[in-house]
Amino acid sequence: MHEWAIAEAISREVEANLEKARIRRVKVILGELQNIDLDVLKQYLEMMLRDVAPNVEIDYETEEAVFKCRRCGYTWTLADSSLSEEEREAIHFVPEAVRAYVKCPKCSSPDFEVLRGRGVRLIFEVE
Amino acid sequence: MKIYEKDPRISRIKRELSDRRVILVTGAKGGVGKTVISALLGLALSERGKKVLLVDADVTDPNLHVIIGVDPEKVKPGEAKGIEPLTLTDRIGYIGLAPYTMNRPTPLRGPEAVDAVRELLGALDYNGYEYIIIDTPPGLDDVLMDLIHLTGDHALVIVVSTPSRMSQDSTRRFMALLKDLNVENVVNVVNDVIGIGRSGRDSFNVPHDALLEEALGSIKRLKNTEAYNAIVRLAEAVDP
Repeated sequence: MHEWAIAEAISREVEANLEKARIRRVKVILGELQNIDLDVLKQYLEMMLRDVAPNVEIDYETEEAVFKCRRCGYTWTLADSSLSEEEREAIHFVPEAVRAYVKCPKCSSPDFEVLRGRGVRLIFEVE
Repeated sequence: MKIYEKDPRISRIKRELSDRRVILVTGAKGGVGKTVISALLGLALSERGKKVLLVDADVTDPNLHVIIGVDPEKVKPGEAKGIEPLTLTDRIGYIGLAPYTMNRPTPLRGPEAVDAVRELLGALDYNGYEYIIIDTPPGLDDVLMDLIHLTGDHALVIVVSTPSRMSQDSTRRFMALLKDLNVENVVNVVNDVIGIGRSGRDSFNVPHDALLEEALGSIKRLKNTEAYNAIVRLAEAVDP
């Protein structure tokens, strides 16, 4: 699963920040667009952090994907877009691929902004 | 208490790339041969027994797949402990955005292109790859800057130009920028795409090769070109 690499990336980032600050909590925000398997990610990440950061609390939060057209300004969500299994899979690997499959429902422009809910973000809470 | 946001991909990319040989193939202008040189250098290094990963970082206008004969509408990279590059031979891998977009037009603003490249590099399974050759988009754009910030302290930066005075003018500015960014490991490759027979004194020269176009898409035929023979010498210098 490519969730392994994502868990490893999060774990490396936590490790790198531990050297600089006392981390209390890390919030892992998962964008709906990337469609990460939360249970799988959790399982890998807990295993990786058990030794390197046993006292850091990890929270998970999912964020709805919202798009805004750069041509006409229309705003819509991922739920409004119909995608095949194969297209979802491609976007799962690289969320930017969404521009090959989704267009503005109003004006058909592929030049749109992902306002939120793209991929994985980390919010650190440090003392 | 302080709260700040971090990109989880950066630490992994830096760590995975720090103990591999990274080659950024760059150039101030489009059409100077960056992608061909990336591919030929990859082939030449693999002939030297090295395991090479070719990365197409020109995410809005990818072409690397054309040169190495990959049809992005037919193949999908796998996944194990990360994204698994497509394997062309047992020593050459390829990854890019094209297989994920079915080769459709994919407009990306600067920061979005950076996101796409970070995503690919941040989630890759690098298992066994010794050389990572990254074909970059033309010019001094966001992706190039990001790749220099991520790898510039140890990467070899190949700056491809042509003998044209326009390209030489662009390359002078490009070289000055690399100097300002403290990138020390730089080679200028002058690729005579237009066939004017002029070459640079302090550069590595690739002669004009009218048969190269015919060889695109076939690794076997690429290895029979004059351009490849020139790049073999570059590979010897890179991998002594």
